[in-house]
Amino acid sequence: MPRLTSRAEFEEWRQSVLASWEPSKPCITVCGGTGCRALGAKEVTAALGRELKKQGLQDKVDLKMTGCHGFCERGPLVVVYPQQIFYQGVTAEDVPDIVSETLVKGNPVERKLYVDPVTGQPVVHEPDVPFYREQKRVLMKYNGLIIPTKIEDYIAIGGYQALCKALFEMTPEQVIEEIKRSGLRGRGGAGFPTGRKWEECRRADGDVKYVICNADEGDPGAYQDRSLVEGNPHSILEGIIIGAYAVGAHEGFIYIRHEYPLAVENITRAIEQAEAYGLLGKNILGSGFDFTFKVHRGAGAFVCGESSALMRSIEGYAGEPRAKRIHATEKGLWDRPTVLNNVKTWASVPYIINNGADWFAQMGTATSKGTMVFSLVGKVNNTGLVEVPMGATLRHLVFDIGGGISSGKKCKAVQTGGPSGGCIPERLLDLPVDYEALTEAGSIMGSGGLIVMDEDTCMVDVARYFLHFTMEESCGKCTACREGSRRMYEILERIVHGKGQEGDVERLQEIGEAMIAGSLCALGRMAPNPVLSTIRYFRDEYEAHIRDKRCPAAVCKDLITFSVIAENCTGCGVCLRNCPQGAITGEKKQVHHIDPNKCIRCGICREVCRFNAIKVE
Amino acid sequence: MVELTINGQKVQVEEGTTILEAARKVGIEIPTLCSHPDLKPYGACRVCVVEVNRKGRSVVSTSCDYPVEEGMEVKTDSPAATNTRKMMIDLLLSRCPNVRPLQLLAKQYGIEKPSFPTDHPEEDCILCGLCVRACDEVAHKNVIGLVDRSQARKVSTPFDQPSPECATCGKCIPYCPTGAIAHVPGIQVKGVGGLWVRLRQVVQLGLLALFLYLVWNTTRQGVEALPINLFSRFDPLMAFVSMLGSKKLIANMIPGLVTIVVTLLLGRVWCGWICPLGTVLNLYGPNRNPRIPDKLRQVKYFLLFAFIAAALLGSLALMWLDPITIFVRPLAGTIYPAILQKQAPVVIPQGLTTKERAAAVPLRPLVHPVLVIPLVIVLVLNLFAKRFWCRYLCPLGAWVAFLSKFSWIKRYVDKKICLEWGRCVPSCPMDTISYADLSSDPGECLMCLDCLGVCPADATKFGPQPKPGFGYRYDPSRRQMLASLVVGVGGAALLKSDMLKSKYPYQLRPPGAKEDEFLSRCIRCGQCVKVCPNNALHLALFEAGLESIWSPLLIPRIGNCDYDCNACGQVCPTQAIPKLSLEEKRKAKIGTAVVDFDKCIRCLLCVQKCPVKGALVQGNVPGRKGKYPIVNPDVCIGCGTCEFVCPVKDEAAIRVHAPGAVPRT
Ligand SMILES: Cc1cc2nc3c(=O)[nH]c(=O)nc-3n(C[C@H](O)[C@H](O)[C@H](O)COP(=O)(O)O)c2cc1C
Repeated sequence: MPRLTSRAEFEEWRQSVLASWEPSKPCITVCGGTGCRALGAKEVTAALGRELKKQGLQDKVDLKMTGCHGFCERGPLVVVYPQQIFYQGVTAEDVPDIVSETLVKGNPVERKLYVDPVTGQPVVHEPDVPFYREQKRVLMKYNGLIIPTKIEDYIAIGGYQALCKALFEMTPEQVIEEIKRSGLRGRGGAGFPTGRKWEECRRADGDVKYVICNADEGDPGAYQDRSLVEGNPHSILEGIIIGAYAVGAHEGFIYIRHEYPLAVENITRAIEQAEAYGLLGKNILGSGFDFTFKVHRGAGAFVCGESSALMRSIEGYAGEPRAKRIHATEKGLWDRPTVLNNVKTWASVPYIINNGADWFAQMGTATSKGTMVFSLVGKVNNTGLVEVPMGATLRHLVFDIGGGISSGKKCKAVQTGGPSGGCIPERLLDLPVDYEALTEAGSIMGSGGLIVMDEDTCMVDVARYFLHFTMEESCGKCTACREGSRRMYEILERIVHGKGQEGDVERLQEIGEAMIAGSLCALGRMAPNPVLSTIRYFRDEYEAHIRDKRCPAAVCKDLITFSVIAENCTGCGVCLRNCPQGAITGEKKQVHHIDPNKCIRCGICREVCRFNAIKVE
Repeated sequence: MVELTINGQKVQVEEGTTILEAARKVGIEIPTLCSHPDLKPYGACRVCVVEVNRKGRSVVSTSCDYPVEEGMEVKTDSPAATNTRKMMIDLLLSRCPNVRPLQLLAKQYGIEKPSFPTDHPEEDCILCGLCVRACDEVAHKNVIGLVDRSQARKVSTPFDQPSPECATCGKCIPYCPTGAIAHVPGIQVKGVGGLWVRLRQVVQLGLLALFLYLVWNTTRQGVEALPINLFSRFDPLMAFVSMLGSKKLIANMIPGLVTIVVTLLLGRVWCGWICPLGTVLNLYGPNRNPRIPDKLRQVKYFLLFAFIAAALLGSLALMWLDPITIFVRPLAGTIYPAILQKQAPVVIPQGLTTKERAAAVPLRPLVHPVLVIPLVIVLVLNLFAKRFWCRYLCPLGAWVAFLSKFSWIKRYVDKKICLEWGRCVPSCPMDTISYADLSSDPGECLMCLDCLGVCPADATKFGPQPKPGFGYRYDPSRRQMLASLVVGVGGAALLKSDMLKSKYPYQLRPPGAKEDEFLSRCIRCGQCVKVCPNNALHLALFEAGLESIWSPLLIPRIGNCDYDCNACGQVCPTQAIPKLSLEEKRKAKIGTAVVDFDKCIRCLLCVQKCPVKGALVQGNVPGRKGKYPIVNPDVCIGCGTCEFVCPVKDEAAIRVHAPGAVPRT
């Protein structure tokens, strides 16, 4: 395929792609997200390929391994088009049935359908699955539909039309105006208005400017950026080219972790394809606009997601933050005006250009527009990636989409924003999620991580866990973050080991406040969030640990004892056989006994007991 | 120009100035640990935080990297800023509890103790990054960097490997505020004083070698060029006391006066650079021994004043405590003869075994082990504290210490550039640097420059300090001075009194020495003993009286005074033995030979060997048959050749009597 040198040529090509794209042609898609791959999606795809061949269907049915569909809890996922019949938990054994029943006869395979836990009824079509039904998918919409490494698929769903529109119908100022009007704010966490950022960069002096896509995504449990890069890399690339055009940059980078090989591979392929078609490089589509784009792989440090550290890292130095007295839009990468945006921010751009700022701005709340992709994890039934308009409540996310708490217990809290975020207690679940509301509640939007916790979660232990993460990930440059996080962690360690002292809570708050005021970058400034928010909402749990040496959630091993509830114990001996320490004694059919001195509080007895006869205090 | 307010005060500074610089300009001090005017701001320590109000919004922010803006309001000690700063200091102090500058800063903020436990109390790197920036921006080498992250962060060279560039540069060292730079793997800290210390060591060891060489080699032939007495002649105490004792200017001791002048200029360089005993004592022993009370240092002053008092009375008996004599005596009187004895035993006069000859001269073995005792004591004491002798006992040390208090050049510390508080303290071989203020007693300071050698910066200075250095812990008090004067006077008087005077008739002194004057000049160094080719000179113990201790005696039975030798007079530093020409010396009267005719076997060997023409002739003795040796007392100079060669067993038949001694009959 020769380089496209004009809009007309592009249009011609697009029409030819569309001509070969038959929406009514049967198509079977397998989720190729990392989660589903881990569960065997590749084998399923291979089996499907063989089976189609065996049945002679290979030309009549398209088989696609797509990006992440989002419903990771139920992978590997398979969707059969055009009916959109949704199968979950598919294995290679299921493949012959799916092919012969669904593709040949058009009947769903009952046993692989999703069963709505509320109604008990199987759901046939993907859009009817509550997990999807309750979402509003914009960025994630095509993830399940296209082959990420095939530019034609992206073209077929309308790809690069926004770029044409921007290049040939709009001035850079108009693009910026459109983005500003849309109310798009940075999805990387801080929520800085994207249009304003671009405008500042456009206005900054200098011929050399840069755009960067931040795909570092280091929060544990968050993977929406990665899934987007894996599943729809061209949408991000298109957004970046438009952004570069708007701010006047001719060079750009995507900073992405080396640990995400599939994402690296797919974006690299996307760049190669876009270059081949003249969508990147010199004189893009004959518009006179030049832009080259490179992949920069990070070594996997959380702090490298921070903008100034990220730029240092691209420059070839150790990724350490710098004081941001001057915006990166004036002096960023190599001291040149630079726009850095999150993956989702960039991915939003083509949709805004295509559909208009008003369409985007009608979604969301007064201050936060558009949609947000969350990764919903923890003690929730439907873990996965969910996209909802800004302003959806946490309750909606956890119960309507997430399907409630997996353990059947009560929801206790939701941690938002990853390790730098805070814990929001159950009573505030009706909070509409936008930047301001979360900050108000002592947390952050962050990259959109949502960790659901039930009654069995010890909030002190959670705070300790997150603080350990930020402590380890602190670059160590500034005293506040390096030493502060270490000291907070030490105190929390003490508390969970039953060695807490009166005044520890105040000390934690004191250090936390000094870290917020004194840290060089947001990593240190936000690191105390998990601790301060849990103190704010669950102070009594801290006090129970410190004063009564008791862990109310029965998590902290040094503060709990396991014992047998005599009334419930049948003397079946299962616990006795499973105890790794031999701490349980008892005759058959007699009430058993746990020796507290031998017990290591692993909890296995409690798990294996079928009579609910093990008690933790 | 930009105008801003700092603590309510309007300040105008140039654009691009940081808040920190602006505050300093108007004399408002903001503490900081990681900023340096030579280097770009870094913002790591977070100690310089201030509260900044811009357009009505207040934030706490570092001031070192914050460029001023028009109309901004800065408060350097608002509660928010102070609390944050205090926490930062506390956190750093908890990391490095033993870093002095941190301790001092913490104290200013009311932090007496770190709030958090420390598992590495020796940690002294606060990770301020100054060294790394200096390596980059000043040295342009980029050899060191900050390695790893979080709690593992440290300053290091790549892979912790020593870098050849590091060894030669050292530019980062003065930037380190805690001295931690010394422990960076791959860095070789060389304080600016390292070369000086090397130089001193070379000088010291060179002089010690010269000293030993002279002791070994000074013989009758070598005396003119570089005599053994070179060191003694520069000995400032010897010069002072011997002149005081004899109340005369002793030309030979003028170099000693030079040393005094040098001391008044440079301080106790004699002890630190020259004294061979000091050099030896510098080689081992612990620098610090807290069990020895500092007051003990006054003892040396006590001895000094006793010396002076005694000298005023004309007694130099105490001079055996002078360090040069302590060192020379055993070398000359014990070790050297022992070696010689081993290599080539002294020719024994015919008919006598060594034993017999020794028996003939009571108390006088050839090798004098007793002479070693003072040296051994000094050496052993050094095991308890380095330079124990120099610190607590040495009267010479006390003398130069006293002078050094007035010396022009003295040691001091510029505390502003001190990097590592107290690094110099344990380096001091005299343990005289106070940890509290890093000062030192100019009287105790040996100008050895060891402290300069360990000083990681230029903070240790040796420069003009005209103010006399009194007021130290161990300055002698007036009362003590008086007491020691009394002891000195009393002791000397006692020694001089007839009560302890010897009546020993064979107490011969080296040629030319006059007994009375001799003791007020002889410093008991033993160098005459060393040069005497015939082994005629020996150091007295008590046989010639208490005052005569370790002064030389001529013992003809062991060796006669060589008629053709005047070496002893040449080497005597104080000219207690006059510097005579050979002619003069041949006439100098040592004593007079007296013949015991009852013992004489009339072999007439003595007459044959007598070098003085006409002093000993054969002749008749009334009432006795045959030819006997006859002494002509007017011609005899008492060289003792006759006594030496006399083959009679035990006591010779012809003996030299001291001038004025009554011959036994
Ligand atoms: C410790 C830390 C980690 C961060 N990690 C990420 C990240 O992984 N991805 C991201 O997009 N932004 C991350 N950010 C936010 C970026 O600094 C920056 O605000 C963002 O990339 C700007 O893009 P946006 O305006 O599109 O949000 C992080 C910030 C901090 C302080």
